[in-house]
Amino acid sequence: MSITLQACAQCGARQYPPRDLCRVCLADALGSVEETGEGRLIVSAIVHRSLEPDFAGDLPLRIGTVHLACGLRIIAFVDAGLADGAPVRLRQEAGRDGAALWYAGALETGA
Amino acid sequence: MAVQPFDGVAVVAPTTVRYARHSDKPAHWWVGRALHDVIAAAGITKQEVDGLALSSFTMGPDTTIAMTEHFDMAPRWIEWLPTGGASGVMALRRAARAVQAGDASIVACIGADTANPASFAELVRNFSRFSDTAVRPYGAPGPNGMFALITANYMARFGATRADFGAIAMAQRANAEGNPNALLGGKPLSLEQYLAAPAIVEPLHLFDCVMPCAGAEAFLVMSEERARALGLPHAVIRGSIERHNAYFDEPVAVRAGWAMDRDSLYAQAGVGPEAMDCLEVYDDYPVIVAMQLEDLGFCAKGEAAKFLRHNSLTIDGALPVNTSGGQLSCGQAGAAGGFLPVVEALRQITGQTLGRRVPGARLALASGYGMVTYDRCLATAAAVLEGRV
Repeated sequence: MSITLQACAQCGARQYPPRDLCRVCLADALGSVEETGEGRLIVSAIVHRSLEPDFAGDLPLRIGTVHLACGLRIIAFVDAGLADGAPVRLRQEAGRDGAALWYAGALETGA
Repeated sequence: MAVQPFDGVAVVAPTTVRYARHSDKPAHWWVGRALHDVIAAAGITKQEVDGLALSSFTMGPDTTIAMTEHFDMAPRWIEWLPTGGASGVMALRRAARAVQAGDASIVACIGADTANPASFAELVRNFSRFSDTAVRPYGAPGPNGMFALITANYMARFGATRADFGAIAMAQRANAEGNPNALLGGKPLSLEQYLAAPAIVEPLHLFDCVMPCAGAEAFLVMSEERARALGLPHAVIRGSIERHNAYFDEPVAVRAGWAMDRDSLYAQAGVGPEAMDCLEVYDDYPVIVAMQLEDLGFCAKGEAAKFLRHNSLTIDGALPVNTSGGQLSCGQAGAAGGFLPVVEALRQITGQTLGRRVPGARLALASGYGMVTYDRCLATAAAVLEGRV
């Protein structure tokens, strides 16, 4: 399973959140690349209070910072049972309003 | 080229428009009231103010230029600082250079915001493109979510505990006693209360988070000569730094721009951190106070918790920090929160405090930290001020 990230066709830099030009070389040459989604859950936190009433029914929610092997960091929902510091695999799934959101899950081994 | 000194510049007339939990008045009222009060404090007229630097989150769609029309002013220099928690020190720096260059004679620097039950959520909703696309869909945790991650990471990496952060919140609450502007000033905080508070975004609980409110903070920047002629107690700027988006490759923030520039700050000032009589730091969350103790050179990286176990931050303690109670006790009046460190530093070193004063305070460090556009604040700034009474 792979994930798609924004990347610069000129210098190869990956970037997140998405931008309008390359963050490194400023080229107007953005495309996308497939990456493994492997990384590490650096830290997580549990949202008990949201600023948006729409989320009230979903709380508590666990979010975390995932540091991808390619160097990017992504804020994601975190699956239950994952410890901070654990190797993870990021995936995209449709969230509540249909938009694709990031989820951090266990990095399956030996597959 | 070395940083040019801020010679010949005076900072005067620390001004606070009393905070309110909610206000039905627009930000414009708070700006105008601060302007009214700051010129009254200095004994000058509105016409003598020929520079205006403003910061506000809730004045939209207006900026500084519109305020000149609201208040019948014709300044020859204006500045708009949409940089929140760093805007006070940034306004000071820009105004000082304008006065040195002769682009303005007297600059009014004002941070002001209104607050109502919907305004904070609305502000966060429209804060930045990155937070809108990459944070808000994840439960809309707002800045609490990002600083919960920073706090949890700091705790895991350096062994700090909730009680260590509680020591910061409790010391600031003790400092707020006697400050009539501190919305939470009359409510002592015990460790038991701190630890038992409801979770907001774990590991952050209620007393780790500032209470949004309405209010304004202001000061004037003019020549030292003018300040003396007006007979005003004033401060001079011994040194100042500013940095944005420092250490942007670090996956979770454990330090910020102060660490990059503190050597310059103290070299300009000609003194080190040990010379400071008080420290007025930006305190959106206790972890950021801890981070500044480290990044501004009061202790080594990761050792703030140890430092706190041996050094009280109360007014009568070893290192008085946030002597007004800070935003954790006063409330966070939007961009005025970014002016509070400068205004409180100025109060302490010129003997014009609202509450208690650090006896004989002469040197103060004021800092700023602002704009969490994704997962950390980007803007940092600091200034060393010396009172001349």
